[in-house]
Amino acid sequence: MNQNVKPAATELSDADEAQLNAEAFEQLLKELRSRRAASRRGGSDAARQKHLDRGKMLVRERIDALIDPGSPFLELADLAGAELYGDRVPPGAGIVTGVGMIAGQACMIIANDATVKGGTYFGMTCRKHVRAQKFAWTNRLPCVTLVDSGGAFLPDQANIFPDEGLFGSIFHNQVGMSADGIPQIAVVLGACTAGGAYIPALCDEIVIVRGQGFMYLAGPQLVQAATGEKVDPEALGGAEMHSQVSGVTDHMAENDAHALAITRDIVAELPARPAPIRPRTSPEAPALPPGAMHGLINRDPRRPNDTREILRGILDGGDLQEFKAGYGKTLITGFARIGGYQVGVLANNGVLFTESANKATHFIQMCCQRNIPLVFFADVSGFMVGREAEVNGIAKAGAKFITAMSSATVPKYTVIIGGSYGAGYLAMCGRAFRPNAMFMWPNGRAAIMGPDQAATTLALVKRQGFESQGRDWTAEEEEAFKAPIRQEYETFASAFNFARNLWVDGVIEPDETAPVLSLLLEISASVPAGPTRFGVFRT
Amino acid sequence: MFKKVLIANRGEIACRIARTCREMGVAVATVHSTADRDALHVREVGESVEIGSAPAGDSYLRIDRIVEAALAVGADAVHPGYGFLAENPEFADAVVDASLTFIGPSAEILRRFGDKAAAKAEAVAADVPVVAGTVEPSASVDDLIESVAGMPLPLLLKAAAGGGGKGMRVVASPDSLRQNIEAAIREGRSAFGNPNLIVEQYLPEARHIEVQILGDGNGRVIHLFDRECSLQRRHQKVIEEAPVTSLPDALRQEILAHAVRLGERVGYRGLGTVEFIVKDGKAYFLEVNPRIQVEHPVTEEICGQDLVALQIRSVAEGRLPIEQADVIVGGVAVEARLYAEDPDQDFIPSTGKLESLSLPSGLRVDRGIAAGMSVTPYYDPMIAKLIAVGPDRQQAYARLSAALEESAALGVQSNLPLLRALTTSPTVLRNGVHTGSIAEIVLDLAAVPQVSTEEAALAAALWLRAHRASAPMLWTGWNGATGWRLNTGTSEANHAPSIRCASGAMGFDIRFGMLDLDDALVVAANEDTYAIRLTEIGEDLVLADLDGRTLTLIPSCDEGRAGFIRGARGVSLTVTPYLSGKLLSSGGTASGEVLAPMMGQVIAVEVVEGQAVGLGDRLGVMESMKMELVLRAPVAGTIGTVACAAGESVERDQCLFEILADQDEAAA
Repeated sequence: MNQNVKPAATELSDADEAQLNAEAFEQLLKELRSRRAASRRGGSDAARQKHLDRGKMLVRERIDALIDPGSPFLELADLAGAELYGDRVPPGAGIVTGVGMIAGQACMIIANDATVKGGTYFGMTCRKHVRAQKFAWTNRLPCVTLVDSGGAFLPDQANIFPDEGLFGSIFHNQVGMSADGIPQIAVVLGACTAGGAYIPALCDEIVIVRGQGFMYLAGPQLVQAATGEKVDPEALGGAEMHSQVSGVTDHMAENDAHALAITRDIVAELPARPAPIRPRTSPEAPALPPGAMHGLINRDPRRPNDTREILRGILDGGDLQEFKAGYGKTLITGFARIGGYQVGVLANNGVLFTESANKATHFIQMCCQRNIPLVFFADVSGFMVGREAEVNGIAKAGAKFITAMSSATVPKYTVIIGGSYGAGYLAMCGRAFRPNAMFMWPNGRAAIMGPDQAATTLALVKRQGFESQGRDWTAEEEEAFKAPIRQEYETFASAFNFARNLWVDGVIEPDETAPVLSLLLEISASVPAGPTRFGVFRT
Repeated sequence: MFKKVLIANRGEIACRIARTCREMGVAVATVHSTADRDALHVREVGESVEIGSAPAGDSYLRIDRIVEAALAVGADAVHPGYGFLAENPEFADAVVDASLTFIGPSAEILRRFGDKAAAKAEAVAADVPVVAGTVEPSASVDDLIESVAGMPLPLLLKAAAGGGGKGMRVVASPDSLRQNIEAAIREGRSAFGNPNLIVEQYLPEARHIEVQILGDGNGRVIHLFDRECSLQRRHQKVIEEAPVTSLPDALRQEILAHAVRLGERVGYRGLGTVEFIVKDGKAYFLEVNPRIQVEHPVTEEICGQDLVALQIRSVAEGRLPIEQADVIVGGVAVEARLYAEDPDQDFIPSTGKLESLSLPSGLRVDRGIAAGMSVTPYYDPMIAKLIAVGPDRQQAYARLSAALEESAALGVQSNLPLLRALTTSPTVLRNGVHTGSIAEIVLDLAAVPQVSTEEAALAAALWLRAHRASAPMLWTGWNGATGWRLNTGTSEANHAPSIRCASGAMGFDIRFGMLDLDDALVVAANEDTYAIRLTEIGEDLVLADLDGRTLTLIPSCDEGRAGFIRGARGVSLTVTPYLSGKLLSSGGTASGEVLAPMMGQVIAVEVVEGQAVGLGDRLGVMESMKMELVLRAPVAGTIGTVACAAGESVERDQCLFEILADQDEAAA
C-alpha cells in the first residue's frame, strides 16, 4: 500500500496550519468529552433517582468513596458498548472498570451500574469485565468487584453465554487470579441471582449489605415454580442468613458506605505490593505546552504528521535519546522517560521499510535485555510494497519485527496517534499482541486498509470484472461505487468504533497520553517480567 | 529562707513559682502524673517526681505521695500553687507534720475559709457585710428546699467546700430547684468530697471585685489593691484587670478596709484574696481564697511587686517584707486567660495535641503548655495567660486586643475568638460589665461562623498535600496525577466526598477533583466548589491561588487535622474519613444517637428504654473535668436504647442513648 499524500491545496503559514488543525481537533475533543460525560452519567435521571431513593450510592459515588483521598482513577473502556444496545444504554455497557488506590494499594475496581438496565450483563458488559480482569492479572492488581447486577441480559445470550471471553470467563479468571495470589474481593450491594451469585461466591472475601444485598442460585419466584417452596428473599439469600447461617458471606454491612468502609479495611490487610523493580527518576513535564499537539495533528488525515515533534509533547522534557537516528528513518526508536519511568519508544514516521523493521527488531531485543517497557506510537499506513521491497526481503524483515514485538515480555503499550493500517497496525503492537494497554487518540484510525485504498482496490477488481465482460464503467459509476465503501471504512476505522467494540481500552486526548502512560508504567513497574524467549528469527 | 521548695502543682503556676524561687536563690522541684511526663512544668522546673496516674485523684491530689516527694527531693517547704491541694487543710497539716513548711495560711485558717458557712460567719464577726441566705450547710435536699422557701429567686447554690467557681449553680425557676440541688450535692461530693450546700440570694448583673491581701501570720495584714473580675463564664474568670476603675473611690476604700480587717482578725499568713460582690453601690463578702490566684499577675504589673516572692518571704520570715506605704499603683493591667475549649460546644475543654502556638512578644505571657504538647482531659485546659499593661485602662485593653489578634493556637479549639470579642466589646471598653456580660457577648459571637467554606476548602487542600506529599509515587503522591480522571471538559469534583472536616458543630464534606495537570485541584466543601493551586514558597509557607486570589498560608496539618494560619487567623478542623461515623449506620441520618461530647463519667441516667422524650429533654448527666454536662434529646421520640449506666466511664463519641425519632419529626 502506498502512502497516499496529497499536496496541500494552498500554501499556508505553519502558524495558520496549526491554528486550523487545532480548531479541527477541538471538534474531536468535544465529541470525546461529550461521550465520556454520557458514560459518567450512567442511567436516566429517573433510574438514578430511584436508585438513590433506595438509600444506595450511585456507582461512581461508590468508587470515589472507596478510593483514597486524591487517588487517581484510571478508567478503562469507558466508551465500550456505545450505541450497541440502543439509547437506554449509555457508553460503558452498564459497568465501570478502572484502577484506583484503596488503602494505599492499587486495585482494579469492577462495578456494576444498576441504573443502566438494572446492571445486567450484555455481551459487551461481559467482555469489558473480562478485559478488566485480564488487565488486573497482567498487572497483579487485587480485584474489588462491586456487585449490583440483575445478571445476564437474556436476549443477548449468544454474546454472553457460549464462548470463551464471555460470562464464564469471569469465573475462570477469578479462580485463576485467586490461585495466582491476586486477591479477589466482592461487595454485594444488590441482588445476585444464578450465575450472578457466583461472581461474589468465587471471591476470597465477600461483604454484603443487610436488607439490600442478596445471593441465591434461584430467586424466590423460580424456587416457588421449581419446588413449590414459598420463601422471602431475606430467608433465601439475605445478608444475615449468609453471614450467620450459610457462611457464604464474610462481612455484613449496614449500608453502602459501611460496606465500602469494610472493603477498605479488607484491602488494608492485604499483602503490600512488591517494591518497584524499575526505578523512577524525577519526572519532567513534556516540552510542549498543553494543547500544542492539537495543532500538529493534520486536519486532513491523508497528510502526514510530524511524529518527532509530537513526541516532544509526550516524553519527559521532550527528550528522546534516539537509536539509529540515521537508519530506517521511517521508524523512530529511542530511549525516553514518561512520568519519570524509562521506556523504549517506537514511533512511525512514514511507511515501514526493510531497514525500519530491522531497526525495530534490534531495538526491541535490546529493551527486552534491559527490561525496559516498550511504547508504540502508531501512525502507519503499512509495510512498503512493490518489487523493490520484496526483493529487499521486506517479508522477512517484517516477520522479524513481529517476532520480536510478539515475543517481548516487557510491558508493552500502544497508542494509535494517527492512521494505523494493515500489517503496520499489527506490527505496532496491535490488540492481538496483548499490549498491557492500548489507546487511540480521537483522530486515530485503524483498519486492514485505508478508506481510499479499500475503495480503489475494490473498484480495481470490479473494473477488471467489467473489462473481462467487455462492459463499460464510467468514472461517475465508479465514484458512486466507491463512496459507500469509503464511508463504511471511515466509520469502521474510527477511534470511537474501536472503543465501542473494546478493540482498544479507550480514547484518550493527546495531553492525557503522558499521565495515562505514567500511571500505567508505575503499576507495571512492580510486576516482575519473565525473560523473553524469542521465536525463530529469519535472518 | 527555704533551701528548696517542692511545687505541688503543674502548668503555668508551677513554672511561675519556679521562676521566682530561682531568682531568690531557692532550689525547686516539682511533681507530675504519668500524663504529664513531658509537660512544660516538668521541663522548666528541671526536677520532678512522678506521683501517680493521670486522674488528679491519683496524683496531684495525693497528699501522701506529695509529702513523700518533698522529703525525697530534700525540700524544706511546699508551695501548693492554686487548685488541687492549695486550700486543703489536711495537706497543710501533713506538710507540717513532715516538718516542712506549707507556703500558705495555717490549716486552721484553710479550714475556716474552706467552709463557706464558716467563712461567712467569720465575715460577719469582722463586720463585713454578707449576702442573705442559709447559715447552716446541709446535704439534705428537703431541708435546703425548706430553708429557702421565703427567699425570692434567683438563688445561688454553693458547695460548702467549693471554690474557684466550681460547685456553684444558679436557680432561676422553682421547677428546677430540686434538680439543681441534687446536682449540686452530687458535684460537691465528687469534686470536693463534701456534699453540703449553702444557699444564697443570687445577685445577677453584679460586679466581682476582689482584694489582694498579704499577712505575716501574726496579725499584720496589708493589701495590694483590688482587681475587677466581673467577666466570668460559668463563675470562671476570663478577663481580669487591676486596679478597679469602675467604682467610686469611697466604695473601693471601704472594700479594701473590709479585706484588711478580715485578714487581721484571723491572723492571716501569706497571700490571700478576699472576694466581694458589688451590686447597687454596695459590697458583700463572697469568700476568701487563701492562696495565690490565677490572676495575680495583674496586681504584680500595677504594683511592681513579685507576689510569689512576697508570699514566700512572709511565710518564711514571719514578717511582712513590705509596708502598706510601699504599695503604689501605677497604670492598669489586664489579663486574658487562653483556654483550650470549644466555643461551639458550650466551652467544654478541647483536648488533643496543641500543634502550634503563636503568642506575641512585647507583653507578659505566662505559659502552661508549649506547642507539640497535649491538652489532656484530666486537668484545667488553660494554655496561657496574656497580661497587657497600659497607662490607662483603654490602652491596656488596646494592647491586649492587639496581642490577641496576633495569637494563634492550632490543634485544639481555643477561646481566642471569645477573648478577641471581649477585648473589643463596647460594653467591656466602657466598663459596663457585670458577671453576666459574657453570656450576652457570646450570643453575638455565635452568629459569626467560626470557619467559612472557603477556609475549609483551603484547609482540606493543604491536608491533601500534606497527606500525599511524603509518597514518592504518582498514584499516592502529591503531583499532577493527584485526583486524576479522564477529562470530560468540566473541572468537576468527585462524585463522593473523600473526607469530612469539622470544627465544633460545623461540618464540611470535602470532595476533591482534578483541575488540570499542574497541581491544581478542585475542592468542594459542601455545596461550594473552589479551584485551588498550591505552591510551596518556603519552609512551611504555601501560596494558595484560590479562584484567582493569592493567599499566603502557613499550613498546619496532620493525619487527623487540617489547618493553617493566615495572618492573625488560625483555622483548624478535624479530619475524619468520609466513610466513618453515622454514615455507616443504617437509617442514614440517625440523628437520634446521643454521643458523649467528651470522655468522662456518666453520673446519672434519667430515662429508661421505651420512655417518650421531647426535643431537648434531659436524658442524663455526665461529668468530665469536674464539670457537669447535661445530655439532652436531639430529637423527639422514644428511647430505643440506654447504652450507658450511672458510674460508667465513657469515651468521647461513645453512643450513650439512641432515640427512635417520632415519624413526623423524622420526616421534617
